[in-house]
Formats: sequence, C-alpha cells, structure tokens
Amino acid sequence: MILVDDRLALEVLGGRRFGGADDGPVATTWTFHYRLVRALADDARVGQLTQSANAVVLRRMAGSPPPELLVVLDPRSLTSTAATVAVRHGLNLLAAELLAAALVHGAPVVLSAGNVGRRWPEAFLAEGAELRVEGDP
Amino acid sequence: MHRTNVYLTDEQCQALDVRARSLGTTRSALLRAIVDLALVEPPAVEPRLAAAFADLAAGYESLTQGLFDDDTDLRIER
Repeated sequence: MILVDDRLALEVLGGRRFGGADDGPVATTWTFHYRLVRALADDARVGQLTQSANAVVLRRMAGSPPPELLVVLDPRSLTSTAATVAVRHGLNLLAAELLAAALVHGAPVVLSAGNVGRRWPEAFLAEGAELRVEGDP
Repeated sequence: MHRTNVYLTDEQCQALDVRARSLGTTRSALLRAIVDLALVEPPAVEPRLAAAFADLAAGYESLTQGLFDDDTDLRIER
C-alpha cells in the first residue's frame, strides 16, 4: 500500500500510476479524502479549472473511487494510534490520521511538497514511518 | 482452488494452447496467470474524466486556496 494526499489522489484519478504491482493499492486517509471531496463541492472552483467533465460526475467518482484505483481507509481502525501520535507530536487530525495510517498499515506516505506540515517530517522520523515528498513547494 | 466453466472460442483455445506450450505450462496455469495480470491492472478511467481530474490536480492550489485555513483539523500547519 502507498498512502497519498488529496493532490496526488486527484492525479491517480487522472490516470497517474504509483509504483508497481508489489506496492499494492494506492490509498488515502478519510480526512484527505474529505478535503478532496470538499474542494470538488465548489462548482465555481471546479468550473474554472476544467470543462472536460460535468462537476456532478466528477464528485460522484471522487466521492466513491473504485478501490482498484484508490482506497479510502476507514478511520476507525486508526483512532487510537492517531490520538497517541497527536499528543506525542502536537499534530492536528489530518496529520495524526495520516501518520497513524502509515504505522498501522506499514505503508510509505507520498506527499506533494506543498502538503507537508511543519512538524510532519520530524514526527514521521521519530515514529519510524516513511515519508516521501514530491515536487517543489 | 475453485473449478469454473468458461466458454472460449476455438481461436482463444488454440492461442492459449500455443502460448502454454511455448512457456512449458498448461492452459489452466496460463489462464490463471492471465487473470492475475488483469486483476492487478487498475480499471481505466474514462478519458474525459481522467482529463478533468488531471486538470484539477494541475490547478490544485487554486482549487483548495484558503479552503481549510480556518479549520484546525484539516489544514496543513506550515
């Protein structure tokens, strides 16, 4: 499994492929998925960026992506770990759930450079979770 | 293992047997390998939708600009 943020999840829906067959599915957390769906809920923003498809259809697919393409992790199995790392590293819900997902699933996290919080690299390093960053901030 | 019956055309059977012989395997083993391969490959997104999602990913900053600034749970704390 590879964990990605909302931007990279959009790229996956746009046809990007991560890793190989051995890496398993591409997944995202519930909070990053919520950010993605929340952004697509704004017709004006979506309309300014693309005319290729109807916003309703895009929202429907992003809201329930095919799991073969993008898995949205159930947050309930991450709650205890997320709470622990939130306290330990002073993380908000978004970061705590992401780090918990990496630890519980033993999965590397890939983030776009603009989506890396100030405390995240240190927290990931301290917990022994793998964090990869792509692109320029 | 589950036994299943599948109707194949004469051409498909012939092609499978030729390929199986060349690989030194059986028709069944080759079919299982082909099914594994097909299931690993993610389903293709309709090109029009994929293009739209690619547009949105490229415009991610404006798509999300200011959206979560006031949300302490969901913002990226820089």
